[in-house]
Amino acid sequence: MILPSFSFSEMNSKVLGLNFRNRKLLRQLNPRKYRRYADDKLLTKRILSKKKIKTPQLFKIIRTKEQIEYINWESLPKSFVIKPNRGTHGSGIIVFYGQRKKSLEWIMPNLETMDILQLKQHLSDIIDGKYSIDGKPDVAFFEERISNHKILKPYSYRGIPDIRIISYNNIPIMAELRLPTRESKGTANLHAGGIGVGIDIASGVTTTAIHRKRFDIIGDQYDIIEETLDNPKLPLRGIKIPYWDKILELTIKCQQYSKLGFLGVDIVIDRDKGPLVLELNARPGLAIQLANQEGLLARINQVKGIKTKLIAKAITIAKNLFGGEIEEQVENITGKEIIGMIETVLVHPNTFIASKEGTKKKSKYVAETVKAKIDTGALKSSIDYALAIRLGFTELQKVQKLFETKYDSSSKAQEAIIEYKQQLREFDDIKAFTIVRASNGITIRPIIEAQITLGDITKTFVLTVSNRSSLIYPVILGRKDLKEFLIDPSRTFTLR
Amino acid sequence: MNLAENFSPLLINLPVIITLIIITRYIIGFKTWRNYTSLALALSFFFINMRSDSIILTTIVWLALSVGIIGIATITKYLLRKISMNFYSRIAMMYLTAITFFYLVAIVISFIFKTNFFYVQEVIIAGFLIGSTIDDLAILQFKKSTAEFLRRMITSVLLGLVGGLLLTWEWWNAFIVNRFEILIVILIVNIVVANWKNLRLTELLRFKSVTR
Repeated sequence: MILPSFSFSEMNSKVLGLNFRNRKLLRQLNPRKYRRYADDKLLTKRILSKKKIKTPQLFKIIRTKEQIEYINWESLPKSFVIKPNRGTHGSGIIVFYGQRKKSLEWIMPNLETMDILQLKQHLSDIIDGKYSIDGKPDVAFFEERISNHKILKPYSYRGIPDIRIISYNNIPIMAELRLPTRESKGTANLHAGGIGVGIDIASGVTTTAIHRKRFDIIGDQYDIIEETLDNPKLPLRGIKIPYWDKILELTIKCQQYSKLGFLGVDIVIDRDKGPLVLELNARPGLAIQLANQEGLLARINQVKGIKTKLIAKAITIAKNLFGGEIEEQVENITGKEIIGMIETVLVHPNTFIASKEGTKKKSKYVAETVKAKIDTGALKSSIDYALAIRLGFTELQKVQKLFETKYDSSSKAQEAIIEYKQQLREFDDIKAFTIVRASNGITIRPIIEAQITLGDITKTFVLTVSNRSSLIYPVILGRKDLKEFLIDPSRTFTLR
Repeated sequence: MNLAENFSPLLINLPVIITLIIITRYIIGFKTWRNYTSLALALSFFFINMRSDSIILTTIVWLALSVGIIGIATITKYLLRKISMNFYSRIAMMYLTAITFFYLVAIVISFIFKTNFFYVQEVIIAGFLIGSTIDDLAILQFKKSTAEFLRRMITSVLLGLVGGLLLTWEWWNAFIVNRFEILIVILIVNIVVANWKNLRLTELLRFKSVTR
């Protein structure tokens, strides 16, 4: 027998298992008094509607068997959903797509119909507690059927896809799109044969897709798939989820209102109403990790100590921390790393000085980590004079008056630069001088070469030197030095 | 009088079997249908063994009865799925057909092999115990997928068998009645399992692609 090769400790630090979820997360973060906000679907609806969060419209609540006899079946809409209030794993939920003409029979996703007698029986079973989470008597309710959004409709077989987002510490940490299939009979449940597709938190674009394998004794196993199972076969990677920022916002709000520290939020997108919260889950399943090919525990540890009450900030944190799946794919295709508009870079000291001092003598200049602005509007990169001096480019002090002089016209600057260019052979660090026209006047700037580490890439940058002491960023990286990178203007500090 | 020798090992085996069940669940990752099912199946094995000549015969009879009774109950549930009736009436029907199966098997085997094996009190109790798991079985079938139901049924029957073998193992029973310290060991094992937060073995296999 060939044993799978993986490190137990590595898996334990990345992947969230049932033991850790139940003992550490559910017990400590989801106390019983708050768990009922998720377990009781009607209570969830009540709480969320008080906070102006949209949920599917409620038609009728059936609390007793006597009430079943008084249902006015003719008043029901053509399509609706019956749900047990305290159901689990989607059991007992039946979606009715339409009504048979001139009869009181309703059509299910598998095109079979149910008549009033069968509906009464199903409602009676729900009330008996057949589907309830603890086996106790339950309540049944009728709810509106969601109309499929045009973007997601082609991917789902006679059902409504839903989006499951796991939120921890008021920050969405992982997301998955669940698609109904013929095998799952129109439900989006992965155990029943639905498709789970990972979603990149930053972009709301789908990544890896999984589908349950045949029976396996150790538990549900999943295959990675690329296309939908039913015709027409459509690629599952790259679907842009509509209303993505709104969905993230709803997730955070649901967590704040439910007070559940570890929460799964199920959201559906209605064609007309947009995103609606379908239900909250106090014990979210763990297969989402397979759909994203990422461990939840690693992500939990990343957001553990972060404190933020601002929803916009929480979304930014989530996007910055957990985006990247799409980027990785782009990076793999293009061979270029994706960076944001502001990055932290490491500027290395003057190598010429360091080599002159020899390897035995420790250089007094050390590399500095600074914020750099990625400026595609600028051709050349630039560095602050004071920073350059700290890094050992001390020759710059000999031309210090350059940084205080501004020229009225190009001709005056041209005249001045000739004088400086004649001095060039006296310098080791200063490689050239250049005239720079800016909004505040014309200046002459010396040019130096310094090594800068940006992400995994360390290279020599050609930098003009100017006085940037009154500006936020001591380093500007211009487009001439950014050919190895792709720039995402919506992000900052992407390099970790 | 040696009190220890007169104390039934049956009772001390109870926490031992439960500990096996929780190790299987939290360390290995195989779930049973609640603890009661495996305990009832183990006890039924014990009762059948009281009237059996060999452990092999006990195992064969016990397996036949367990699979038969549970299987008939499952088939009944499947056949009744389209018939309109109350939830608990449906479970009652499952009991009825399963026990009828037991009764018919007893008559046929008694007739063919000229034995009164199925008429003795211990074997009747064993049948009763196996039958009493139908309630949990029905609820599990209604709430979980067929795959999950099958998984839990296989684990429960296997753990019932292990428990039954433990209950009927003479050396083990003689060992535990004279060494109550075993309960301290069991307590320590339980504390370790109670604090086990690491991944289960089945999860290691399930999620191995995540760390690739």
